[in-house]
Amino acid sequence: MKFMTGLLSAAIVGLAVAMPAQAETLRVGMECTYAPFNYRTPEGEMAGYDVDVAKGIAERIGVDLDYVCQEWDGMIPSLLANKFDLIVASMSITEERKQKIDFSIPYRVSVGRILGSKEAGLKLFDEAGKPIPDAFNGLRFGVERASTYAKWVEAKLPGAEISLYDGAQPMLLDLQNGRIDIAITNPMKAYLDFLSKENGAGFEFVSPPIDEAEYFGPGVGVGLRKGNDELLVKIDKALDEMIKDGSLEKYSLKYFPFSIHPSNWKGVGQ
Amino acid sequence: MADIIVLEKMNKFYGTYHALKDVDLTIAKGEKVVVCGPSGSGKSTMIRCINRLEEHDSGRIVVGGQELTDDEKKIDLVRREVGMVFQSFNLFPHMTVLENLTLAPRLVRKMATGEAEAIAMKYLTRVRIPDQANKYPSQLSGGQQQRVAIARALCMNPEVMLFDEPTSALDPEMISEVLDVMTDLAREGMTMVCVTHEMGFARSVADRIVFMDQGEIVEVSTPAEFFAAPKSERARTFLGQILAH
Amino acid sequence: MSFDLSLIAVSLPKILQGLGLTLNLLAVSTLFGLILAVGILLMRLSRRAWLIWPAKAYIYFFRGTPLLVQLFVIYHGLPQFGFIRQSVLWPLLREPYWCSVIALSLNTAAYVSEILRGGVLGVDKGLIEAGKALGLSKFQRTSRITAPLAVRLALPAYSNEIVSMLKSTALASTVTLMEMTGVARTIVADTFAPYEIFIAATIIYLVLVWIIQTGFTLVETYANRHVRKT
Repeated sequence: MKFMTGLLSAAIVGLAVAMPAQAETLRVGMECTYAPFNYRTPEGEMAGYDVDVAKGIAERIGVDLDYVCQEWDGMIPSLLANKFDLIVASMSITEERKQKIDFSIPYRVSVGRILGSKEAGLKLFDEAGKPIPDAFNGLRFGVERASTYAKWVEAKLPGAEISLYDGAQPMLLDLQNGRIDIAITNPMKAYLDFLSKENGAGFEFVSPPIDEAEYFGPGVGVGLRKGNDELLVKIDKALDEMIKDGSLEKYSLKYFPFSIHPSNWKGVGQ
Repeated sequence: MADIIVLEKMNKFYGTYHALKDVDLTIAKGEKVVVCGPSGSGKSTMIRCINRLEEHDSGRIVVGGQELTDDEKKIDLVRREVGMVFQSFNLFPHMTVLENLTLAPRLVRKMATGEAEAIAMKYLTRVRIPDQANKYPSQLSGGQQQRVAIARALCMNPEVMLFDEPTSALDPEMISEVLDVMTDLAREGMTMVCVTHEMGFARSVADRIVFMDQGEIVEVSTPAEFFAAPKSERARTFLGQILAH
Repeated sequence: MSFDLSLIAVSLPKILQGLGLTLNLLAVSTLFGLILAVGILLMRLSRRAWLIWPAKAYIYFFRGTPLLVQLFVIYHGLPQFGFIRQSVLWPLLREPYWCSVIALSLNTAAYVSEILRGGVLGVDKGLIEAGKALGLSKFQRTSRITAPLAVRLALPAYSNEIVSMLKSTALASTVTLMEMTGVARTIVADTFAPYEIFIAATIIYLVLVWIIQTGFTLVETYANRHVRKT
């Protein structure tokens, strides 16, 4: 009897291991410090736009979620090392990243904006919305290490005096302290964490929204290890539903006073 | 003869331990004094007070006319006229023999290097090791090191030489080479105060023998008196022990 | 997990672009640290309580807290005070480079002063007495006898401290400096290949440590030539 029970549980374990796509729980990697996209509430609950998207997907494909908090630098290596199954961490879809992992269709578009001091009266972009390289001379430019913003800055402003940061928080702190003159980051995050707060009162956006697809890609997607096509198809289908039924729009309005999606957003096939 | 060292009612304490008790001793220029006594009797402490390696707590110490007090200048004046040889040689290990010998003449006497080296070679010859001038102390035997130490003290051309058990750390076969140098020095008329257990040396060289025990000077005698008929019971016991070897 | 040897070869020259800054931080901080350490040592060895006490407190504080925390206090903490940003020090404290140099120097000074103190305490008291007996002044005894012998005694521990400092310079990457670790972290963030890149960085650090250790062995052999028998 004991032997039979043992055999049975071994078989169950074996099944679960053999079919990860069918597993009841998917482990989702995110920073957990990137409000309002993924973060912990003071009560310790996971919250944010990414978390809502992940929950929406889970609901539609019928799985439970486990959250794994991971620093940005190690996000893709940890996915590859099977520390979790999905990245839902506002990760932009890029060609470089696609060589290592697969992405779902975008669930949010990526844009960047540059912040600077109000007093400085910076005019860094021309009427057509193109950067004026000379205007950046002598300005210390804060950029997050290995971000899509970094790629854009390197390409468009090769002579810029760049300081690389491991996250937006230390970068905005240095902007506030005057160690850097301008910084490029996610405008939604910058607005919520900085511009709308006392610390950021003396600062403003000094650029239009920069959304060149060449650098910023089609947007932000769910990342997963290559070879999980079945799961990928399910996630894409779930996201497409969520775009069409207005769920993503609803989620975004929980966190921002403005829509974060383009008005002409159609989802799949973009 | 002029008195070069005068100790008057000198007392020395280590905490509550009374190391030297009312020591009175006068040493004339040119005199050779051997200080002996059991270990812990205060002999080393006494001669270390003479160049203020130890500070006395009461009484007077006058060396070459200078009374030793807290006055750093006077202490330096006394020290440059009083040479000292230690039990453990205390040669500067990072300097060659020649550098050991010329350091103080150059720094204290402001002598030119060439002159200091000439004097150093003179004394190295006198202690019979001129060929070791460019070696480091660690390359020499104990006897050679102690002779270098004597030469180093002599290079300052001192009025008085203090010897603090100069042969106690030496292997037996090296003791005589050091004692020979000291005997030569005595014959040349140097004022010497030697703490030593070498009774043969004491007998042949000393003008007076000072016997100490428990921080006191118990008796002061000529060698003839001291070895033939010590006045005190303590000296007799001490001699009995030391000569039995 | 695939492992790409050629990536190590490709990243080596890129990481070496940070070598200059790494060595610069090491040399400048070591120099300032040593000067400061001698000052603290003199305070610590003095017989005056009002000099000893601050020196002890300094050593306790800087040895008792992580260097990373010290760096963050200087880099992120000090600018929180408006008066710091208005002060004459701000042009210095504004620069991540100087924040790193200050943190590294203050930290190493605490260790080096203790290393040197160990050397001073290790010098045979008999040698100091011999110096006194020869009439050398306190300054002459210190400069000719105590200091050279204390330095020789302290050399092995000091070489360890330099190696330790080399590794500590990597912390400067946390305040945006692109020394070797900063460069390596940036390449990792670009290539998602931490193993290869950090192995490349490891190789360079190990070569530097080898050079430092070999250099100190030569210096020690020379400084201790008097100990060898012929």
